[in-house]
Amino acid sequence: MNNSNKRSWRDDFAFGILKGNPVLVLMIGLCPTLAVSVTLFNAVGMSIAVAFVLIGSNLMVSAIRKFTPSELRIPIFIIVICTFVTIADYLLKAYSPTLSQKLGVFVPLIVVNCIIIGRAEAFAYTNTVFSSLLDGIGGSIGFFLVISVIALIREFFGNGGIGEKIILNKPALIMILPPGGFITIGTLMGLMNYWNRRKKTRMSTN
Amino acid sequence: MESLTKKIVDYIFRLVLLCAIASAALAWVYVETKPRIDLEEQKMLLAARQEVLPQAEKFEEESFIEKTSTITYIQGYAENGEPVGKIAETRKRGYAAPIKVLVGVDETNKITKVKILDEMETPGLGARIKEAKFLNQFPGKTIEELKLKKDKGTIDAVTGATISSRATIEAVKEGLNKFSGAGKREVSKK
Repeated sequence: MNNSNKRSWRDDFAFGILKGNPVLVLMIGLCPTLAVSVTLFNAVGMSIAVAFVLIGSNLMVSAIRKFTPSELRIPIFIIVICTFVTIADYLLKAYSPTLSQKLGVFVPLIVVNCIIIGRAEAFAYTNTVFSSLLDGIGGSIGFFLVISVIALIREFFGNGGIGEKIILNKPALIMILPPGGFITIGTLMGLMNYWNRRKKTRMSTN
Repeated sequence: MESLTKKIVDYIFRLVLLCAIASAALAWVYVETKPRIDLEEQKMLLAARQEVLPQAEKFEEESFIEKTSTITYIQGYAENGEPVGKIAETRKRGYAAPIKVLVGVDETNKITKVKILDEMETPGLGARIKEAKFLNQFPGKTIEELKLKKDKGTIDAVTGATISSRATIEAVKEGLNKFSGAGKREVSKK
């Protein structure tokens, strides 16, 4: 692990977007990504809820990291995360009932989303509040980008268009079913790895 | 040994403290959002009821004809207090979870409209039972006609979602069953 004084705030922020993208690189939080990335609307809604919880829990976990003995950290992380998830669920129900109905059970299930507890354990627990805030924002953006791209692909090919606009007459139903999710995520991961590897070899030949 | 006890007490104290703070925060958010959540739910329910029975203006608590664990019957009144139709709120197990259906009928027990109140079907497949293309097949149909085409009825199933379609039809029928026999025992509390 890098020392925090060697790392700039830009690194903290950018880590979650590409280099440490939760879904494509760290491969965590795949389950909600597969389940929710059926329509763009759901994906954006889910990203907002995840961002709220991820940033909140990162801030809280790092703020109380001195109060948290290492044997107790998992239960404490869970309490913090549950609290934020429940708050997010109430807020969605009160201020955006349509979105809350669409996302349904996936909002409460953010509790077990590995992205959040993963960042709490791997980052927020050992870093300052400010760095954790940046890491949370970066990770949220990374999650938002990936789940939106997946949803865009799946909705377009599986439903025939985005939202009410239908372009394709005979959509490939499989794309909105679970297999379509696996295919899309796998393809994106492959592209990401290919791109990373090419960058590496180019750097070593220079 | 003593240090271990100390440690345990310390840990318990920390966890209890954190839980207390978390519960306090949750309680506050709950109290703040509860009225809004209830209001939104009521608004949604009223809008849904008005959608399936457009001629009715009022659906009051006392206008329940009957309420069982799975079916609620509601009497609808026009603005002048005239009964104009009834609504059945039924539930049938779909592919993933119960599908909640609202069926509106006019005073001659003809279906005015069917609406899906709540479902957890597969998005893009079973969830398409919410689309007008499927639901618009219901109004005006008799109970005998309410069957999928593959069951020798008149309703086109949603592509790839026979189970969800069938469950919707069953829910509608369950609601209608009561009304078709409603002439015999009118329980309206007017």
